[in-house]
Amino acid sequence: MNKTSKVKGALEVLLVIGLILIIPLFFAIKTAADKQAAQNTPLPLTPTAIATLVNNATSAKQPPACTFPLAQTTTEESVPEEYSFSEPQVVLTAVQDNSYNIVDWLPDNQRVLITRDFRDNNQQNIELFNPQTGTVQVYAKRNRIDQPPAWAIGLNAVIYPDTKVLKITENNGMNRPSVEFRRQLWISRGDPQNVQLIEDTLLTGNFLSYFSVGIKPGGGQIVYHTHDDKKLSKRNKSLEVQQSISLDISQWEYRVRGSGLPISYSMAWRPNSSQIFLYTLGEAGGYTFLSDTDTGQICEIDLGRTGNEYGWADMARWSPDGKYLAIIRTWGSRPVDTSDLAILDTMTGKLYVMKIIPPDMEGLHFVNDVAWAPDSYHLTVIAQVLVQDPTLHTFNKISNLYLVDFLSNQAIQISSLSNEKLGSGLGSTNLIWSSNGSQLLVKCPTGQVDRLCLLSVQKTAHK
Amino acid sequence: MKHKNLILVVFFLTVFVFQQAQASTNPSSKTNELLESSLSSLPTQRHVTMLRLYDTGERISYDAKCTYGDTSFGCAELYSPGYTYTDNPVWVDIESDYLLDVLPREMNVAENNPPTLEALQAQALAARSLADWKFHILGRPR
Repeated sequence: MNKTSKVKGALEVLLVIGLILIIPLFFAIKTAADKQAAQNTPLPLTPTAIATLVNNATSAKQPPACTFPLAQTTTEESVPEEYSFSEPQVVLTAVQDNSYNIVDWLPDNQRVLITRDFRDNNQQNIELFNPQTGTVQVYAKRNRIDQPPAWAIGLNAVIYPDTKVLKITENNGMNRPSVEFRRQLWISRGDPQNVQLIEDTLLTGNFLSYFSVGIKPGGGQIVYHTHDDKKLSKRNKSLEVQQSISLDISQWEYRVRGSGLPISYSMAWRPNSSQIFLYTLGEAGGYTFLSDTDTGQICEIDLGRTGNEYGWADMARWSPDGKYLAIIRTWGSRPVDTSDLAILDTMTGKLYVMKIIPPDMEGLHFVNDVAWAPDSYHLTVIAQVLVQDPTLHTFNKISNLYLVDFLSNQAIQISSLSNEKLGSGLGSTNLIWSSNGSQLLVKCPTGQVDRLCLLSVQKTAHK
Repeated sequence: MKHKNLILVVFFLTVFVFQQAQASTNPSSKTNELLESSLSSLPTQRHVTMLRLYDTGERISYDAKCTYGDTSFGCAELYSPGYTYTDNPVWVDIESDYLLDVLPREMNVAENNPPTLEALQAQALAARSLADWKFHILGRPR
């Protein structure tokens, strides 16, 4: 072996040793760099909360289905009547960005129970408004909650629930905040500084429990209920406590839902009857029960299904004669994609369903509000179609006011109130008839300012 | 001896080149790098105005801001104590606040078919990306 060969051999050995050292070093550096990059990256891939399902079905059972006395009878025929409506006249305009909710037209045909929400705080006025004179009388002030006030005829007073939140304690966003609050029921005879407390309970928990209040049409009885009490409390028209009845609705809350929180029910008292319709939002189970305030018996009203979802009532209104129950029906949890008008004939059990706006019109179809005419055959309805604007990612709104004859499946557009000039939000009250049927009060905001409009109604028997 | 050394050199070089080629052509590795890079650029908080909504999800006729204790739809969970912030608009933490509200609704966890952890993770990523895109494009999330 010559000298050159020896040098070459040594260089090759050095090259091999170098490669053996460099390659592991390269991978070691790369691994360290990867670890550093991983540490610098936030952790969006791991959600911090995973909801657990609560299956109430283990202890609750489905109540019996409601039965109807004339289930085999043929359905009723329409009683044609002609209505004509005047052009709307603005009778109340909000100031300082307040907004109104219509609650009830009093039997005197003059005053309307309304609530006024304040934009910049969580306060609400309960007021009586006279559309003819424009006068407003403040009856009470409370925190703004979904449970509406009610007019007690015999007492000539407003009864209203209130929830006063005393303290909210956050739990780092990982658990529900805990809350200390007072759940109250009040009565006002017209002086907001001199209201009377009917019920008052101090509660602590991680949810708000509300009073669901029902007042028998025509007066005579007041009932209220909460999930905690498992009873229906009663007062007579003089506010004297009457014997309560056991009403543990939780034993009938059989559906699986995402939260085990107690449920608050809305109440609609059937005229000329001891029955109340109890209903909840979809995310609270979407229950639709009929209960007897004398016995506490409960049955379930089936509003039909769409796929795996059951129909629930966003709003319910009894006809003045107590025969029909008009329901704004929808499916799933809020925000909902559609709603329609379902009217239950409580004598035959027949469910009349109307879309109002032709279903072939493109967009999301809603029935937003409904009010019975005193004849118990006609209704005024606000229906709406939302059409998505693909470029702006917003919705164009088409809203109209209709007169509906559900027995003949007819809906006729009335008045020039439409689109942006019609208060039309599912979940709020927008219109009501006077007790004698001569006037119709409608929310008619401009888009910037809330307003109430009055329409005169003329009725003539069909020839 | 000479050939053996050459063979060794060629062998190690081949291994090195093969490793590098693998690393550069592996699509999942490349995607993960891009993902990590883009996620690390997302902000962790957003300035949000919260408004009361109708049951359809539509804004009410005027923009009514949620106020402390407000239980309106859009301001609070059902039966919850209400809107818990004292300010509006408010800075919201994306990870520990925004996604906690958004995911259960988008995944419909209330139904009988609970989503898997992997599905929730994917949805969290999508929800966060969409929110970021809407903030950039529209100036607000829906």
